Amino acid sequence: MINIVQYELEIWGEMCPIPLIKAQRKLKTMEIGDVLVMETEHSCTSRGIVVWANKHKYEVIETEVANGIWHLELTKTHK
Amino acid sequence: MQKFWKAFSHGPWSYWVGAVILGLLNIIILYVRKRPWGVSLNIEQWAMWFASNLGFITEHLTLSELLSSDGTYLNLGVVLGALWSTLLASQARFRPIRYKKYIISALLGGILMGYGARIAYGCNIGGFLNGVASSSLTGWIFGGAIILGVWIGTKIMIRFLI
Repeated sequence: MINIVQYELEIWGEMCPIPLIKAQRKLKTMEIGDVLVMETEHSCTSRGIVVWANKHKYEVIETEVANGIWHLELTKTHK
Repeated sequence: MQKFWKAFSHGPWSYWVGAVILGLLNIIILYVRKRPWGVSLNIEQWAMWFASNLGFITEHLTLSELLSSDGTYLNLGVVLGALWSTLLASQARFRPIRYKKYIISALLGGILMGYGARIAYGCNIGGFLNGVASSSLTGWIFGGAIILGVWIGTKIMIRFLI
């Protein structure tokens, strides 16, 4: 039985690379399979996290929920 | 076609596409202007104009000199172009400042950038980009100093802003 936990990280209004560093630190404390949810209104913040996640083979879903607002779901797929 | 338009307006463009366009535009600027592209010299001239009108310095630049300077329009073009691209992607949005410490870091960063750019006779564009493009040694020294500065800046950021 795997218990998936969903975490939220408050990065609203913060500029890159601060949110990315926060996400990396939060991810370290999470178990495999856990999901980290973030929302930002900075395009470069969103892009930065997506590019970093792809590079490190983490699963990431990016959706532009409104004009200029991005919702990110980052899954810790491996150590 | 619609897919192309979406990729065009929303990006993200690859780094190499941006680099090629930047290089081509830089060549056009050098050809038309007979001088390399620079940003901070014009900002310095505007700062001088403000300072002399407020009575801080005696050197004087007239408003018509500033308005007939091509640097003014290059800088205006950078700002308006950035605004245009954000509007095109419908991502323009007023972003309130989240924390008070961001105001302080922005002010300190701006002062250091402006001061540094002027005592180095150029910013990222005039000092580094065009320095390297004209195979001037100062451009490479400037580039090395940028890497060192970013490294120190990141240490300070992690210490104070996270």
